[in-house]
Amino acid sequence: MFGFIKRNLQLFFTSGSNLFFSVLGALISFVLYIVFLKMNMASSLTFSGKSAVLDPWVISGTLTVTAVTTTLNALSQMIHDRETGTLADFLMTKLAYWQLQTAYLVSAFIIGWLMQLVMAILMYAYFAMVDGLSIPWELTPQLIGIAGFSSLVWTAFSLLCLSFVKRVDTLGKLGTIVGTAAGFFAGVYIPIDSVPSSAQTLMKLTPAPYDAAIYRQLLMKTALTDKFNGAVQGQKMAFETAFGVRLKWESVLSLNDVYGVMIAFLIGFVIVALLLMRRSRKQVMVRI
Amino acid sequence: MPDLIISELTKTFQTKVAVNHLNMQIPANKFIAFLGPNGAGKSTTVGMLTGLTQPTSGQITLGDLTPETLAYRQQIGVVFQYGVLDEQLTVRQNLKLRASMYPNVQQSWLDRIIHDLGLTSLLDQRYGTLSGGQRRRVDISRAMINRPKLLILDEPSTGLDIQTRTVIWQVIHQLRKELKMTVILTTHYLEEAEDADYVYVIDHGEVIAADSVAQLKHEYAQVEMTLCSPSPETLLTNLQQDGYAAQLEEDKVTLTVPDAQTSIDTLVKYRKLISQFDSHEGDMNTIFLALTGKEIR
Ligand SMILES: Nc1ncnc2c1ncn2[C@@H]1O[C@H](COP(=O)(O)OP(=O)(O)OP(=O)(O)O)[C@@H](O)[C@H]1O
Ligand SMILES: [Mg+2]
Repeated sequence: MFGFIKRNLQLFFTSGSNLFFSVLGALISFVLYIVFLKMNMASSLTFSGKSAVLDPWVISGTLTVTAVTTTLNALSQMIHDRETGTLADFLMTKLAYWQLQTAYLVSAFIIGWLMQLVMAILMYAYFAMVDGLSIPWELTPQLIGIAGFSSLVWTAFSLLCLSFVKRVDTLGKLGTIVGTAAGFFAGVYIPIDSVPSSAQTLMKLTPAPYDAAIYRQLLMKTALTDKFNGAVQGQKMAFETAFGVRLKWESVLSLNDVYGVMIAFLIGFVIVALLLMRRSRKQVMVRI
Repeated sequence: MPDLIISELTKTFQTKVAVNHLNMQIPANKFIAFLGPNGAGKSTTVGMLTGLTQPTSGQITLGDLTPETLAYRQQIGVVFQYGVLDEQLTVRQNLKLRASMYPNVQQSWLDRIIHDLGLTSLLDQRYGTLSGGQRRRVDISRAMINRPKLLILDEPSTGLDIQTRTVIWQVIHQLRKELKMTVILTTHYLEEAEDADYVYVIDHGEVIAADSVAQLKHEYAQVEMTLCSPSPETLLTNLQQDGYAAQLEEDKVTLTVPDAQTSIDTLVKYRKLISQFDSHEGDMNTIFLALTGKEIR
């Protein structure tokens, strides 16, 4: 199984176009922010040293988008292999169908994890150079942990999405839709508070804003404590809910609540995907 | 290896019957050909033999193993009709990966098949950049990785030149001897079927004839005669009156007769009307024509 996982990683990382398109959604949100959104948002903030707050904010959202698109892209290999008959060939080996499926999932999980870390490094490096943002090395272990957790949830999400896809053709379209939507759902293009409440509700029906919130609570913590030091009670909380650092249902969710919601999504995705998967073995031979 | 037994095997796609109540008993260490035109149901049968396609009804058994089991699949090697290895990986990477996915494949065995199929110089080339014939050789080496007891080849030589075909068959026959391997080949190349111990002629998902090539020839191949005559019309009328399905083609009369004796009788009877003649035994093509009414090729 290790050999097969290695093969999936190799196919992903050696294909330049694959790599590029898997992070395209993330790159777009990042570039939009740099050239356009940042100025817009900064004008609505009153405190000074805005980059220290806004830069980690966009990094968090972009990492969420990265998790969504890279896991989906990586798991797409499964559909591709099915259509080309390569999966049929692998089924002739000693690995059973479920083992191959598991290997695809593990590969997507690893890829999503690594790609988030790579993107985090790239974005921090950029902001360190341009804005003089100091890199929070002490947060590395937590960041690695969150990236893994987020990759896990989004791999399950991708599995669910791909249960509906049979053709490589459909895959491209799905990738485009998910890639574009992810930025919106994670609230990277616009802070969650600036969209109509019906849209907010829609966003909260996906794991995207929760994932972004987990990242934001980690990466923006120091800056926010710093900026709102001595500010009026409730001001910090108002900012945090407006920017999706904290999410509100009836009341504001604690970090544990947010993790709980993510885990619920994870379990839900897995259950539905498994139910759908029961028939997929039959479709292995699209072409003989 | 026990016999491979196929009984009442049927596969329907929606309303289309691709394979229709197929029955076969294939003994170990034989070379079997499935001969049939496009759409006959050959690949569908291969799909079911590999356990990748579920039959609609009927069974396949190899001793007490059935195709759904891992143990069954460990015994077989398949060359699919279309190349199924990873295009972006090199030949070496592809073969190594597959080898690692079987229990204890020896490096020496891998080296051996790579060498036999002349792949040594292609090892570091990406599979996607290989020519059709090179790919086929890689496909075959991939199928041989687990020393299969049953090798299934789905149209292995479509689009290959004579040299490549010769190399491939030399290797396969050699390995067949060594591994006491059963080989099942699907093809519409008659020459290829002629080497087989046993041929199943398949059309519309049904076996329409099954026998050794010699026996098939004996049974179905007729003698084809071409007769030249100073007065072809007269000859034609005479033959037709005698009940032969004779035809006039560019001043020559052609007819088929059941066997060599009849052809001699015909020649003797009409010797005065015949200036020249040609007669030969039908090949697999005529067998096929006789069976299906269709030209193969
Ligand atoms: N997945 C499928 N869905 C519907 N019909 C199918 C499917 N697969 C095969 N068929 C049909 O079943 C019939 C047999 O197909 P098959 O591929 O077995 O033919 P074949 O003998 O291998 O032909 P060829 O020599 O062209 O490879 C064909 O009429 C084909 O259209
Ligand atoms: Mg076929």
